[in-house]
Amino acid sequence: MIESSQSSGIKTKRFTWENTKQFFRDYGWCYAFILIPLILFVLFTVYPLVMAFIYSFQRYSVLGSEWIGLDNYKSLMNSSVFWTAMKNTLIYTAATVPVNILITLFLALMIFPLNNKSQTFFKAAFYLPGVTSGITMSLIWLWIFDPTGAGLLNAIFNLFGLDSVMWLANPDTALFSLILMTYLGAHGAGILLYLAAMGGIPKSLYEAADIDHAGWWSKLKNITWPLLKPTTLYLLVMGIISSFQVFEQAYVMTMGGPNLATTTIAYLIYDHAFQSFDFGLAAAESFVLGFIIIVISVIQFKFMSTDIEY
Amino acid sequence: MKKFNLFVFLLTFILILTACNGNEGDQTGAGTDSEGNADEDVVTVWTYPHYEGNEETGQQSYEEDLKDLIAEFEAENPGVKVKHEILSWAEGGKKFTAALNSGNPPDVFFSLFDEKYVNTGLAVPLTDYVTEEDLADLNDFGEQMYTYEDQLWGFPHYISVHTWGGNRAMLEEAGVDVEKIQQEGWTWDEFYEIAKKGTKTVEGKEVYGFVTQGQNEETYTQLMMQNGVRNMVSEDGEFMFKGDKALETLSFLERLRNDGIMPKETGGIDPAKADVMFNNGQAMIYGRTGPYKIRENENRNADIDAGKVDGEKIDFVLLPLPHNDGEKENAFGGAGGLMLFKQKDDKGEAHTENAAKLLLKLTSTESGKLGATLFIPPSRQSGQEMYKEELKLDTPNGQFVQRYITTLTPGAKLPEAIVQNAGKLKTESVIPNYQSFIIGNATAEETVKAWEDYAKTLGFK
Amino acid sequence: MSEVRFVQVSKEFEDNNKGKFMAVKNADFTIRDKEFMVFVGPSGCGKTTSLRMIAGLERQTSGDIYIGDRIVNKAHPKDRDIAMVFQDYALYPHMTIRENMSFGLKNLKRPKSEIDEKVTEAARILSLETLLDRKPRELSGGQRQRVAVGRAIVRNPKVFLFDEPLSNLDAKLRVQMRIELSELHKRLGATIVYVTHDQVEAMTLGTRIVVMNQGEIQQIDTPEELYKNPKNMFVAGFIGSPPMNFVKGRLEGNTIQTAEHVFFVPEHMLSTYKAYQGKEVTLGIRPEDILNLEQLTVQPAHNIIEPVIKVVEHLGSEFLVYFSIGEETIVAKFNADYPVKAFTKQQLYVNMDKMTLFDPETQFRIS
Repeated sequence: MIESSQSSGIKTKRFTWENTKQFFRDYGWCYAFILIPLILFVLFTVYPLVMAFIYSFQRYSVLGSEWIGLDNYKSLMNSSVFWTAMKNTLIYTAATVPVNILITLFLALMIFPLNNKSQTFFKAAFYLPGVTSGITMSLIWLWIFDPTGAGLLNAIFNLFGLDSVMWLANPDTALFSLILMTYLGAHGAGILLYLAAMGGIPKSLYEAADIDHAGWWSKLKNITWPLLKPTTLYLLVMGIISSFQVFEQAYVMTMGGPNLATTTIAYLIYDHAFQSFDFGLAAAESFVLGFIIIVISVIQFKFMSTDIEY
Repeated sequence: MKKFNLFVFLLTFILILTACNGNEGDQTGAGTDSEGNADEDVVTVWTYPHYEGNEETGQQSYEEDLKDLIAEFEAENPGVKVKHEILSWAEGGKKFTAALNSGNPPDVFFSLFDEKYVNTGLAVPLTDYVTEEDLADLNDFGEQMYTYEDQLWGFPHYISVHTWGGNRAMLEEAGVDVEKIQQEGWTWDEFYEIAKKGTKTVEGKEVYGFVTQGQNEETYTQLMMQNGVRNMVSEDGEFMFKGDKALETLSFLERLRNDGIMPKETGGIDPAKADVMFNNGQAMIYGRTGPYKIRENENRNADIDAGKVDGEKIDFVLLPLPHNDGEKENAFGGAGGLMLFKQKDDKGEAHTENAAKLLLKLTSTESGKLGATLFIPPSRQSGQEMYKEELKLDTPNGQFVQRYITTLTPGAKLPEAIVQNAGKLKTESVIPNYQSFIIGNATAEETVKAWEDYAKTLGFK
Repeated sequence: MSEVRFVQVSKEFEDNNKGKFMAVKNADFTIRDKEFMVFVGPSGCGKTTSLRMIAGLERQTSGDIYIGDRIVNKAHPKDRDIAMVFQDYALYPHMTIRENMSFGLKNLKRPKSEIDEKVTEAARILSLETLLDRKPRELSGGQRQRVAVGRAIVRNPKVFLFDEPLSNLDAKLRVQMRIELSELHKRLGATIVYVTHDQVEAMTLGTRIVVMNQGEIQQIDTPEELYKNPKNMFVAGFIGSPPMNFVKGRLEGNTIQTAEHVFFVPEHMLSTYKAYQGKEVTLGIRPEDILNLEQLTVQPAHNIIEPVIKVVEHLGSEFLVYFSIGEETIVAKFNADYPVKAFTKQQLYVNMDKMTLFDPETQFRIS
């Protein structure tokens, strides 16, 4: 911007009418093009965000909200249910994201050496289930987790002489059951990203490693894994963000129960907003959640980001 | 750089301002638009697909019947147009909640009564619009269900009642006189003995005397009503699921589970699963169900005859919930009907009056068909009269329903100050702790203690 | 003994477009211990494939490969005791220079003290001491090149393999690295196999040179021999800068008759060409054997031509002069002290004592 103003003969950086005219003569078109997406962004992102922020300091009512300062934030900090939800969300995130990244990486490593046709087949095979609606998937999982011997998992358990488990009904196993769903869920997008990244690693590095006496494991550990780090970081950040917002499974499978075992923050927000009509509290919870996600993402980028060049 | 930032900032700021204004402008704009012709008043109604059409019997779907009623209404009220929308059972509630809380509810909406709706300030009492004749025709319980702070907030289509259901063949095999129970009720001990007889293993398959859903506290709450406790929280803010009464009820459930009369997986059984188990002959008695199951069961039997469905036909009987010795039967039920709303941008008295007229038209005597089709008693005496054929009042099941709805009592109407906390108490303690209890992770004593403690922290007596 | 021997080695590739084709045909040679052997040829000639077969990165289709006394036909690259420097250096981008150089030894589970010692030594030889803790991307091209060499050195292998290692460097740096590599060879006393498409690099570095074309080995010899006695027209045309000139003609008595000129063959050579009397031959003359008549103190009797100079290229100490004989463009290399101008007629002397004759049919040198 400074350069351009110099080139158009304006030496000062002061904000004057002359500057403005010149500026719009030079760049008016750019703004015209940017305007449409900007309007959409403001309408559908900025505006709701600002309104939600305002609601978080109010007792919301459609006919006139009442300003209550930090009461919503105070009450959620003092709510044992909020902390239970926080704990559940953290456990869910810690148990799903890293394991799923490893599963994805493992599958990508299995697919990568195959020829083009087989690669395409497996890419599609792993990607397509992700297109199925979450609700449909949940119905199938409800059957898999059926507490009686009629359920798939328990049928397998019974086959080996083990007792049936009340997967979703027992507070000790409910959250784990939801976590298990993600392990066997869709890894397609991650696989595609990993495969693309693997294709971008120069072959000569592996040949050099071959000559450097590196075995399969050493190559994976010292070449593949470090060079996939940007992809892993991306999957990690996106995975953590989405798992912090996990809602659908808890809503469809367990309604946050039993005994709050699957009440996640996002579920709690839904519950407070749409069941209790406490939109102010829900907004406050949303901002706490958003704040946590931002902090974690920044930390991750700070500690893990690298600009690998090859 | 500075200049650039300043521009972006200004632009964003201006856009936010215009966006806000534009938004409001849009809303009013849309309002006038949909009204179209200036002399025409458009009234909206949102309801659900209460029943489907059936090609074989020639039965119309609810939407078709609704359209007929609307056509009649529009003919009777020139200048009023009705826009209707059939919501999905799964998503409709959410859609309405969002519409209500953004200030744009439909004028007429099908709903059970909910204090929260009234507390938004957008619900409109029907009191001024309803006639003496309407009120005289309306079932008392139905009227009570929609009455809050001395105002009538809706007009019910029907009176729904929760019952348990039984497999007549299995019950009679256990030597039970079904009609006697239907007419006189039964105690917890009598129920226990009968259910125990029904619990057995047939051809390697477990058959339970009793199956119920254990995903939430419903079965417990309804059994508490048969033990003299009508509400979780009383109108003066007392927590009622406490002490000996609560312990007694939980212990009864615990005994059923521990003795294998009820599956030990009850915690994992949802209503649909309980229904499937009953249909598969895995349960002699199951809960909860309701009169609607009679119609469902007839259809299922017909489908089996037609070879469309695999399975054994069932002779289905409605059963009352058993009551504790010395306590009275107290059926749990509700009334389903239409509530009246206005919008944040009030469209005026004339509009509300039109909406109220539509509401009463849609809940008129003819609309008793809704209940009758579902085998649920219509809320108007005149409706019950009109549809007595469909309601099979001469059958034991029909007579049982007639008797059982007389034991209905309305629940506590909580004052605004404690509604939110009562909701919290239920979702944050009563249901979660019950879930722990029903799968055997907590004893009856621990559960009651946990409830009592949590109720105290929320300020209940 | 770090000898490398190819016995009747062939490599066939399956290509989606071209179908099956032979990248290397019946290669049969021995690279002697401590020799600096350069493979040279145009792209696609099979030189890199040969190198990769030595490394074990490609498996030959037939034939045997020996390293030392051992047949390594099926040995994994790590079991061949070789080190390789890649064209793109193949440095591990996420590792420091130190880690890059010690990676191989770490995989061999050598003690840390030994690794440190070897890395330090290699860094000293290559003047990389101050760069050890940097990442490859922080280094210049020449420095990366040295790291790639250093990575090979620390392993102290039997055979070093270089795959066009200087092709990504600028001209000046290339000359400098050439000298360094040459010194390194003397210092390490190791067997080096070096692939390049640049004949100058081949001539300056190689103890011996393998010239390849279309999968076939054309000649294996010392640089001098290749230059003086090329086996065929391909080698003659590939080695030397600029390459040898070819003129078609007929051997008649003691002369070669071309379209425009008559060249006299020195008496002592005639016996060699007896069989070609009266037949078509191709006369080969190197650019430096065409002289400006002004340079000469004695006026020769024969072999003087007077073409019109078409183009003159100045190279500083010398310049290249282009003209035509018949349809052939001929280039001559002159000393800068005797300038010539384009578009003028110039008297030139062709030094037939240095001439070479080729059989135009077989393209082989007549000897």
